[in-house]
Amino acid sequence: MESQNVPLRPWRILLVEDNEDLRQILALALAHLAGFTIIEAADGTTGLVLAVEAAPDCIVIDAVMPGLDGFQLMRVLRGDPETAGIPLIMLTALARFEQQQSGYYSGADRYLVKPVAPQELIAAIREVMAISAEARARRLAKFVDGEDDADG
Amino acid sequence: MADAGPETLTTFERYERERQRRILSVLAPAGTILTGITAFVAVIALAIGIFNQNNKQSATTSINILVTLMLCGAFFMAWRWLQRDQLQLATLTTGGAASLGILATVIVAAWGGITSLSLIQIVSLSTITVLIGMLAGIREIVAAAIIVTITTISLLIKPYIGDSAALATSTVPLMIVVASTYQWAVAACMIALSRNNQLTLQSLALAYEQAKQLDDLKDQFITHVNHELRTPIMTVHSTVAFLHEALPTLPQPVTMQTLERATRSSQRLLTLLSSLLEVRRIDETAPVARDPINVRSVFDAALSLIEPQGGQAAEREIFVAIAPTLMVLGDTMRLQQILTNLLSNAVKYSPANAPIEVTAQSFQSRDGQSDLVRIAVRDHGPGIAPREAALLFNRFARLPRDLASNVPGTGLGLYLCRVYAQSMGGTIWIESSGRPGEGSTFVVQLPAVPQVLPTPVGQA
Repeated sequence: MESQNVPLRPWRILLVEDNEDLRQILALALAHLAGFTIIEAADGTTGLVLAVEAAPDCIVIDAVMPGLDGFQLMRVLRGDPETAGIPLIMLTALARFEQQQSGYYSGADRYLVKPVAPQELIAAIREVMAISAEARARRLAKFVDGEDDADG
Repeated sequence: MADAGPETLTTFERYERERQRRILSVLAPAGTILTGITAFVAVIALAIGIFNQNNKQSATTSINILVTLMLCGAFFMAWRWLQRDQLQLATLTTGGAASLGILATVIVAAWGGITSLSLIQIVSLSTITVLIGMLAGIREIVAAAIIVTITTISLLIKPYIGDSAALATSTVPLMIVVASTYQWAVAACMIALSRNNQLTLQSLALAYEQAKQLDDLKDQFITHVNHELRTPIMTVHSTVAFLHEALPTLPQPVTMQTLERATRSSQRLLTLLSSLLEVRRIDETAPVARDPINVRSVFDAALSLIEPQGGQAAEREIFVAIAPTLMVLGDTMRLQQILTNLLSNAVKYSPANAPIEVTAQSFQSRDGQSDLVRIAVRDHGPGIAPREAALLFNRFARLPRDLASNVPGTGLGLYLCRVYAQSMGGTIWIESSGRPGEGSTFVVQLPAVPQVLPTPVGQA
């Protein structure tokens, strides 16, 4: 059913990015242009905590961050039944193919290389949200079946 | 990494092996063919009875042919081993077999008494020295020359054993002197050649290692700059794209704040870009002023540059101990850039509440010839291990931990500091134990103003 993807409240997007200027501008642009509710985290560990506590609809994650980096964060999120279904977008300056590959192996649904305009990020978020219902069900089924299949 | 051959060899060893391989690839086939032809001709000659020989001569010839055939076999084996990349075996066979072969031929020929033929063969003994010189080092050349000389002397003296009176009146002593002089001259030439070879290869290897190290740093740098550029570019790009769409609906303060963020990012881009351009520029060695300059005022100027953008510097204690009258000889702009770099590093790489200490004092150089000024910037950050400190002042050098933890930087700051300090006749170094918390001290040493000034120049 189509209505399944459209929540009654605005989508909550968790933004995990260590560069403050970029994070603020993205938060403002995403809220203003798309009407998303933005939750901000300045590092991977905070991101992990907020991913559990705030139950976001989608997470945008930078790769290179102090402490828990983006790749590690995604693996942790994918390994936890509570967060395994959340669509993940990696937004990073790492432009090499191997890095992109490792982003997908770590569980990203989309891998965006900086710089992208906020409008492109919004489009990407909408896109992963549209396909997420199915993906979410599949990922969660794994936990229901009790199969502990490593996700990358 | 991609080099063929055993991984454990140093560059010099690899070069040396390549040199041996090239020499052997000529020597082994040439030896095989030459000895082969010689043996063949000699066998034919012996068979059809060209030599009108007595029994003893014919025995000597036969032994010589046998030795030549064995030599031919040895060269051939060396050739095969070379093709199978067994360099050591090939070297040993070529050097050893050829030397022993030549030695044996000469001894057999001259044993029964010196003839004109055996004299010519004695001359050919120096071939051994040449051969060893091409394949091995100085020690082996000397050993070969000693063996050659002893063989020569023994062969020449042998007919006179027990008859020293006849020996003294014969031409033998003169022959010995002449022969060994030539033999040692050949040895000396080979030693010179071998030494030259070694030194050339060593300096080539060193140059290669350095170029490779720089190349690695450059690669790392490009990856890093790529990463450093993309985030601020995205901030600027996002701001423009956002404002382009949303400007009419945004409250004024929000617009201003957004623009401020974008400005900061574009400034960061500019700084990065200008330090890149600066590196290009100083490669062309711009002229450097050598004026008396006041350390304290230059330091204050440097401090004022880093404080507003550092953000954290405002809360940080910076202890300064610089006499207001202390002067150095140098270029105001360059000293200021050095101090700005060192200060911003100290701010960037130590905890926000850790103090920074700056001291400057003059002293006499160890030889008492000149007055020097040392300016030290001490932080209480993680410090730098001596192993890593060696690379620190190189272009594009960044510590692994900074690359890992995303501390922004280009790896050019300290390189520029070093170049500036050197251009003013000074030096820069780091003192750090590398133990966390003990911090590091960067010391710039510059020439002080001489007591008697030729012309007083206004301070900067």
